[in-house]
Amino acid sequence: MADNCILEMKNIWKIYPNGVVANKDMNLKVNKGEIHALLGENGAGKSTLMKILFGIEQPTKGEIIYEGRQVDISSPHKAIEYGIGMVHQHFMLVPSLTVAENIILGMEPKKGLSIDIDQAYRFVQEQSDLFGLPVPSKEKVKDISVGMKQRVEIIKTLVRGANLIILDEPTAVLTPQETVDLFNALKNLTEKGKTIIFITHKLNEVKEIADRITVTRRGRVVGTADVKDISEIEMSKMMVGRDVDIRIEKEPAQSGEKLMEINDLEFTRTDGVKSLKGISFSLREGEILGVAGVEGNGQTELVQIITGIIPREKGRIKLNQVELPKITDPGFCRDAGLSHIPSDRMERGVAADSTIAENIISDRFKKVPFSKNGVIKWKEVYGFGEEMIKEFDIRTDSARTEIKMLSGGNIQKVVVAREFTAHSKITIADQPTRGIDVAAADFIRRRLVKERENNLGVLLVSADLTELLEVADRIIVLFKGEIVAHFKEVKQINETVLGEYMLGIKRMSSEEMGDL
Amino acid sequence: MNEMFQGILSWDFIASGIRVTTPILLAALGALIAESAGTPNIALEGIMLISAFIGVIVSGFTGSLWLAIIFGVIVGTLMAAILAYFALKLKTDIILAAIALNIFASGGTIFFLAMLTGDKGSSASVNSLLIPNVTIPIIDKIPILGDILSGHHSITYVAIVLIFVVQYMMYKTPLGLRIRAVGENPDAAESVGISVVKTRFIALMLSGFLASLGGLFLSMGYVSWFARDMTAGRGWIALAAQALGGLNAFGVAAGSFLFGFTEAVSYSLQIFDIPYEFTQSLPFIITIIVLGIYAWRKVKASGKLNVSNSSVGPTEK
Amino acid sequence: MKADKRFTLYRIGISVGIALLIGYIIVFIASVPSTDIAFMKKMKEAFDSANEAYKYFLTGALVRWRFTGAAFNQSGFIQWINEAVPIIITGLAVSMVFTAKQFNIGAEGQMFLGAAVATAVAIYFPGIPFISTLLVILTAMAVGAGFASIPGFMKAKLKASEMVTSLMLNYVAFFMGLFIIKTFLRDTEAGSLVSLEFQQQTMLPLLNERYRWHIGIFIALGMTVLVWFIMKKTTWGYKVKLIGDNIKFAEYSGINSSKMVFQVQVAAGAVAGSAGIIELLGYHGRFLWLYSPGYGWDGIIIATLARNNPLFVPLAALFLSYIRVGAKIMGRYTNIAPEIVAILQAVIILLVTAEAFLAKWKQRSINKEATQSETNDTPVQVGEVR
Repeated sequence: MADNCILEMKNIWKIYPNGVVANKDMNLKVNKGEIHALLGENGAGKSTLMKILFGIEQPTKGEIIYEGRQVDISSPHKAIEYGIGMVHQHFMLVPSLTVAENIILGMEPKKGLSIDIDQAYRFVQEQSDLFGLPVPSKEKVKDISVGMKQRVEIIKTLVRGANLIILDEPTAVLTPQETVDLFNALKNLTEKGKTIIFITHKLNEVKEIADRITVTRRGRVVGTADVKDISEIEMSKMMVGRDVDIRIEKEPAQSGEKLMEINDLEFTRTDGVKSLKGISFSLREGEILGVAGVEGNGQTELVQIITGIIPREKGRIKLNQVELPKITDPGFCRDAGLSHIPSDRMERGVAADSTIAENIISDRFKKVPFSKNGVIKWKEVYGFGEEMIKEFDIRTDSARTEIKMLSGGNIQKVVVAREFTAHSKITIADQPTRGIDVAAADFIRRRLVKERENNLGVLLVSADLTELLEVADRIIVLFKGEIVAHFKEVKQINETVLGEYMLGIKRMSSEEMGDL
Repeated sequence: MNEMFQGILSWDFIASGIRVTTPILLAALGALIAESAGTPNIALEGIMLISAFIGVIVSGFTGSLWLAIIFGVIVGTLMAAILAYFALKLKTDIILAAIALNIFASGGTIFFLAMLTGDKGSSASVNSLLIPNVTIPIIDKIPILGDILSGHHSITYVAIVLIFVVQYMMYKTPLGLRIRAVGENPDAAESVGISVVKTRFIALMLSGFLASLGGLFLSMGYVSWFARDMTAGRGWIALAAQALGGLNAFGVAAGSFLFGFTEAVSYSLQIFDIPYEFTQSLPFIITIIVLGIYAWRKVKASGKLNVSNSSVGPTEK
Repeated sequence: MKADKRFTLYRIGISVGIALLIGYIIVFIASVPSTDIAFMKKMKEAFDSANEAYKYFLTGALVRWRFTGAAFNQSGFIQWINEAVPIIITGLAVSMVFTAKQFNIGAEGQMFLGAAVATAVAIYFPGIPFISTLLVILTAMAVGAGFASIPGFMKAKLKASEMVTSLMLNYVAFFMGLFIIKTFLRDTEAGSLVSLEFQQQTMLPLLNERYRWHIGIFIALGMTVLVWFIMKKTTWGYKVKLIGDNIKFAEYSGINSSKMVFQVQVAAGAVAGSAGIIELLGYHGRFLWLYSPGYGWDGIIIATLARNNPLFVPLAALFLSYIRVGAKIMGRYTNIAPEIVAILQAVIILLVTAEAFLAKWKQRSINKEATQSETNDTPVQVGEVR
């Protein structure tokens, strides 16, 4: 067993400049030719550990032994030299360059001073044949699908001679069919002698594809095991450290008046793609309406139009009986009684260099008691901030802490604290639990249900199907900018059923969908 | 009025337009390379100024044209390297760092001018050399065409050749591919082992190299002396020309000619009774108007939508 | 976070130290005599005269050196305070736009044109103490605000880079200002291009007649408190900070960001507009600039040194004017041109804004703290602490 070991990471510590400790004395051992799953919640330190292995981050302490010798991986360049490749969660591709240009970047074949572009196409063709991963080499990366982009990424590592490939949550952005293709490709690669480290937090994937597993929690390694010797329940216990009650108890929906009405909404993106093709539905008091769909099927545009971030092309929107003007802004929508938990909290949900309290009052600083005659009452603001910290269980020592010092889950709680205390009748929750720890996610889901019990309406857009099935009362499915399914009785369906509609395999007739 | 149009439309005027465009074009090509790499170089103004100064001083003290050119180019490129070092290695805000360099250039040239010649205004006491003009045989004999094509300053010809060289480099060579990759998605470049810092360093130094040629042209081609702040905003106009031309060298050249000819028009207008201050302001006013129209058209075009398709949010610290 | 602030202070101190050292080296080189004497003697002489020059440079603003000893330099002191006035004001203006992350670097033009236009009022409006003075300053502020509204509008409505437009406008303001003075306000009897003299009653009151110590410093400090209050205590200042921190977040929160982008530039333009005329009202009594005096650019240096905090702006401005006055005094006694200050300024900005400068030192002590508390098993900031 010992000589079979390709990689050993010993006593790795990582402390960031802001004082956040991401890795605490972590150890990892990976065998040659295996698929090794690295399992852990978001924030468990697994991504950081892999960034250290790939040379993106430097460990504060610790050593790495690769193929029997101690190595110092000071940059990705070094990692590539050693034969380590990484496929990142956010693709590392240049959108305006072609697939072939992306693959040969940094190792361009030359003819005189120029790039030999014909040679590049031939080379990409050869390599993709060799590993059984066909790609459209002349197309620009911005025009190809997500699954294809991932394939380009894998080829990129292979043509650079990678023997150990790290995949950071590769299935997060894939459709079920693309996931199957990926898993087949990975198995094929291990047969060719490649070793794979597979970062995930999905237990079923571990069972399906991995040989061995290392579980991490809160920056430490909990343990390593052979997948065949361990059950999903055991893995889950190692991962979260305690049993989290995933089931959310709730009464049947008591839906009332219509809070939000969307009529024949249309939208065309700058690239000419029609991303919303006449969508109509309504949201009622006391219900959570789930929106399911593979990313990029119009959800982003839908949310941004309703919340006033972008103008619609056609159609009507009514919020609380108020007609939304065509040219509008988020302030108008907030005044009409709308709260919005944005999908990317760092992009739009918070101001990182401002304090927690400053972030919480951003929508109400003009109101009493936070200001009077244009002068802010900081005492009231910070008092309220402290209250929110208690009520929403934000882990920090003071409301004066800057947002950038908090973890992802706690930042999301700041966003939620603001949006749930705005006394809005409608809440648009866009991926409210993405990338945060289990307990924080659970907390947020319960708050969403509580909103509904207070007779408010919630529109929940989520890529997490389990979450949708658990929390939503009704679900609509978006596919290529259209509503293709409507489930009034969520209890009667499961992920597989939703998946078929999300991928466009099935679609309901308008009679089947009924009243939206 | 008729007189005025005659002035503007003469072949002399075109030749003067080309002459005025030369320094702007060189700096704008530099701006193009820096911008492509994702590191805008707003120190072009200062770099041009320093090179203009070094050229005059070295030629005056050594009497060698070649040494003047070589030193002018080296020092200009070095300035860009300092900018790159601070912005890329020491993580100084690139705009503030460039402003610092511009302040250094503006005050430093006066300081050293005073130290070396005892005069703070201009280098009149230094016997500086000129980089010669080039007469193209045969073509210069052809009427009109000869006036337009021949007899320009040698750096002008170099600048025109450089339009093609820069375009070729950016779109046909590995270096250009890497610069564009680094500018568009630095993480992607880093992930395949391209050093983002090194590539940007090279791009900034190339931009400094081009700007320094523009600077040398000012003090050793356009005139034969150095005067304080003689670049007079040309480095900034070059940035505007790049903004208009985008990341395409031919577009940038078109932008540069637009500004160059505006400046030439302002000279032609001086013959008439229009106050000097107005003609001097003209290139800047035109720049603002053109930038405004350009921006307005862009806003109109993107009115359709701009969804920030941020896929996945940050997960871990 | 405490450590953060301490390191910022160290970094500023060390940057200033390095800049002064570089300045010394330049002065030393400039002081090497060209006479044909032995190398060591040359060095010795250069060393002596460089020391002498630096003595004037570092202390000249406060100390008058005589053969008999040192005395307080009243004229230097007053010059120091007077010269800080316009750059405190431009520093405040720049700190406002920088807080909103608007790179409007048009303070120079706003200041110049504001002074030129207000000169007309100062010459022709009847001299009533206080009232006409206020009117002149308000005129300058209005011109500054109006001129700043051009890049402000172009950024807010057209999304055109305020940096390029404000810069271009600096040149336009310079030529327009000169044109106004030359054509309408020129004192034809004076030997050089200067305006007519201001009304005596319109001038700022003086604290010291001989060296013309005017009350501009109190105006500047008053403006500091006002800007501080607006930026830190009002909803408007909060909005400015928010759009600077994350403009998308501000919009999402319901703040009209283009309105704020416009307003902050106009407000800063008003502040900057008054910088030049206050100096003219206090000291010169007429418009006399042939070159743009560069106070707008100084504002950028000062705002950067003060980290955009209005309360630190006067300190940074006093520092800058101190070394400037020192450099001028040095220039009077030696052959070192006062423009050497530009070199020091550049070095200071480069180092003060260099995030990675001294960062290793900082990181090491943070690591130490973190591992220590970890082994002691006390809670630290980790990804998720349960």
